[in-house]
Amino acid sequence: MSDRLDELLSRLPVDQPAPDLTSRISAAVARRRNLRAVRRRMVMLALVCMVIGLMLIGVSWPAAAETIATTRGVDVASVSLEDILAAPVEVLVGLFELLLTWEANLVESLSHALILGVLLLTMSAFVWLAHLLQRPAPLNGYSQFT
Amino acid sequence: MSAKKVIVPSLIIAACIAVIVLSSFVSVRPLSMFSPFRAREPFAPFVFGREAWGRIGPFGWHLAGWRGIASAVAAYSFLYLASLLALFAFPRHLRIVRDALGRGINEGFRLFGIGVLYGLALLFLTALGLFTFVASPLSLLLLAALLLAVWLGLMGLALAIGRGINRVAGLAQSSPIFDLALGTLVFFALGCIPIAGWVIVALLGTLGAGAAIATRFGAGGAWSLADFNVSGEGGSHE
Repeated sequence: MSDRLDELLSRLPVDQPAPDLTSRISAAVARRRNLRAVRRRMVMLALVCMVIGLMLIGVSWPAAAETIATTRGVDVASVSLEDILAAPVEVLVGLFELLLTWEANLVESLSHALILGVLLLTMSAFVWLAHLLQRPAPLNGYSQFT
Repeated sequence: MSAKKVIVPSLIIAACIAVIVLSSFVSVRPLSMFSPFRAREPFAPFVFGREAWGRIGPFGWHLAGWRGIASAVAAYSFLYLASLLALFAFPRHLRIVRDALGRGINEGFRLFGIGVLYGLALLFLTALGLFTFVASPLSLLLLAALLLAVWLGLMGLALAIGRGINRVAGLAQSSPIFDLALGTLVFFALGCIPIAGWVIVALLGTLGAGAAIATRFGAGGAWSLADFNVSGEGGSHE
């Protein structure tokens, strides 16, 4: 222990500790342990979601890729600047209608497995993101439970 | 003023200009390796172009010769001035993002991971919205949020790079305006390199987006519901 720390410790008041200090420390330690266990379980769950999601997407991807490739998209290149300048509202409405048609065709053709797979991957990515956004707890024993 | 304070930034600026000029004189042809992506509907007209893949850089077209140089100068000016506006509008946010990027290699990897996961999460969420809600504008907003995070992060990264270079040069207290100019020039020059520029800017953008997200778009503080749970009037705290 450093001299500086010795000096600081010697300045601490010599009052008796609070009667519930031990129980509070135990409660805090238990709370932290529970939090770690919950996080570990969430990470495992995210891993399982990711694996299942990838499998679902892998199974349904060949058909989905074919659907995406064959469904006619919105060809922005076909719209000329003259058209936009001449009738901007009509051009925008036309593009939006094309987008709606394309999306409706796509949604009708895609399998449930693909949507479920994307959903599981989304949840998995969010859990991993939340896990990374948690700052690592300091090693000095102090932490903030917010 | 010591010579080092002038020489180091000058060398960096000269190197960046050399990269931009050389890139402008390199003719880039459409890459056959990307041809499987070019024909895919509906993304081809939006993202990959038909014949132009490889000729577009992250900061504009790769034009050859003097026209390319003029285009690069204009693109850099646009990028720098837009970033400068943002710096004056949100100085605290950008300082927090910049500071988050200078906390060592381990923190850098964490921020990169956050950037990757944020991008993936938003892309999956956009796909989910596309598959379920017909033409939901929220999907477009999510993509806008992704771009905003990348831009904010790149500005923070430019400030961090500029400050790093100035510190190496021995300038302890450099102006953030100069830091931004220098940092923007560095990643702009890297982005001008044909093909590799995309990879470099993607990596830097991911890192920057991670910093922007980790700092709650520069607001600072941890991701928590503490502010939501505050009771009473005027009880908000950082």
